[in-house]
Amino acid sequence: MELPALPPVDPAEFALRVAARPDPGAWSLLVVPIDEVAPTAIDLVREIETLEGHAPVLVSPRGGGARFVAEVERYASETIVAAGVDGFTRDDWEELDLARSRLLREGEVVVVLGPDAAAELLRRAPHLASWVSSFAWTSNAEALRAEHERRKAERLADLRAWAPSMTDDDVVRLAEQGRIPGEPEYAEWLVLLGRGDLLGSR
Amino acid sequence: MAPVEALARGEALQARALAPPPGIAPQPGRLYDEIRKFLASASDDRALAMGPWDVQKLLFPRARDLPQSGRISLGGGPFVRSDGARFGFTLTVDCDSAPPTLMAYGFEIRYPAGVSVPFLRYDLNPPGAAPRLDVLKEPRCHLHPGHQDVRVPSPLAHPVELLSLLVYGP
Repeated sequence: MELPALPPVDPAEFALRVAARPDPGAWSLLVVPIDEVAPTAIDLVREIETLEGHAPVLVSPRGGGARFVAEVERYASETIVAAGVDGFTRDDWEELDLARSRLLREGEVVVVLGPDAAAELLRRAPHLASWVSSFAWTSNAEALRAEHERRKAERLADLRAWAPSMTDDDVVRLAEQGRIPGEPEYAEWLVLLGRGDLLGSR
Repeated sequence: MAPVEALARGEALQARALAPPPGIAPQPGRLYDEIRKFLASASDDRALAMGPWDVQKLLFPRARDLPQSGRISLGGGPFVRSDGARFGFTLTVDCDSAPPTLMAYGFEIRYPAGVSVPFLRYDLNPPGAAPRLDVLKEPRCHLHPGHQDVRVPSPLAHPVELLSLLVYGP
C-alpha cells in the first residue's frame, strides 16, 4: 500500500493538536524523514510537556511487536511518544495488529516513524492503521528550516523598514564603536545578523 | 542640564530599578516555554482573541530553532487582546552569563482608536547604548506612557510579568 499524501505540520502544532484531542486513548501518527525520527520524538516530548504540564513517556520498542505491546500496557494511563519502530518486520506489524485489543488504553499514543515504516504499518496492520488514519501528519525539518530562514528574513526586513536610515552595516559599525542607539530593537537586529557578541562590548 | 546631585539621584534610582527580577529561567528554552505557556493559557481563558496555535505561530523563533547559548533574541506579535488592543514584544538575553541576563527588551501595547492613551511601552535599552539624554530623561529601563519622548523610570521586570501587564493590565 502506498503511503497517502499526508498534511504537513510543524511538530509544535502537532503537539498542540495532540494535547487538545478530547479522545482518551487516541492514536496519532507523525511521519518524518528517517533521520529525523529520534530528534522529532524528543521535540514532541518537550512540546507536550510544556502544554500538558507533565512529560509523556518516550518509548523505543526496538524489540519488535511484543515489546511494543508490553510498553503500551506498562504505561496504560500515560501519554506515550513511541519512536524506533522503523526496524519492525512484517511479522512485528502483524503481531501488533493481532494484539490490538491489548493496545486499547487510557493515555494517548503518538507514533513517530519514517515513511517506509508508515507504509508497512498501513499494509500489514490494517486495524491499527484505521486507528491512526484520521490523525496522521507529516513533518520535514528541511521545510521547517526554510520557514525559519524566511521568517528571519521577514523580521530583518521589518527592522530595516522601522529604521530606514540605517543599514545592517551601520548597525554593526555603531555597535563596534559603542554607539548603538538605545532602542531594544537594535539588540534584536544585531542578534539576527549573528553579531549579538557586540552587545555591551564597549 | 540637570545639576550633578540630581543626576546622581537618577543614577541611584536606575541602579535600584535594574536589580534583576527573581525567577529568570536559567535555560533559554525554559524562559521561552514560560512565555508560550502564559500566552496559551491567556488564549484558553479568552483574554486573547486568538486560538492557541495562532498565538504560537506568532512567536519567533520556534522552540527547536532557539539557540542554547550566546545572545539570543525572541519575540512575537501582534497578539490581539479580546478588547481589540494589540501587543508584541522583543527581548534579548545573554545566555552565557550566570545567571542569564536580560540585555534588552521592548513590550508594547497599542489600544484601539478612542482610548485616551494610544500605547504603553516598557523598554530596557541595550547595555552600552549611546546615551542621547541624561539618566533623568532616559533611564535605561523605562515606560513610555503613550508618548515616544516621555520615559518614566520602570523596574526591570521578568518577561512574563510584563506580558501579564499587557494581557490583563490596562
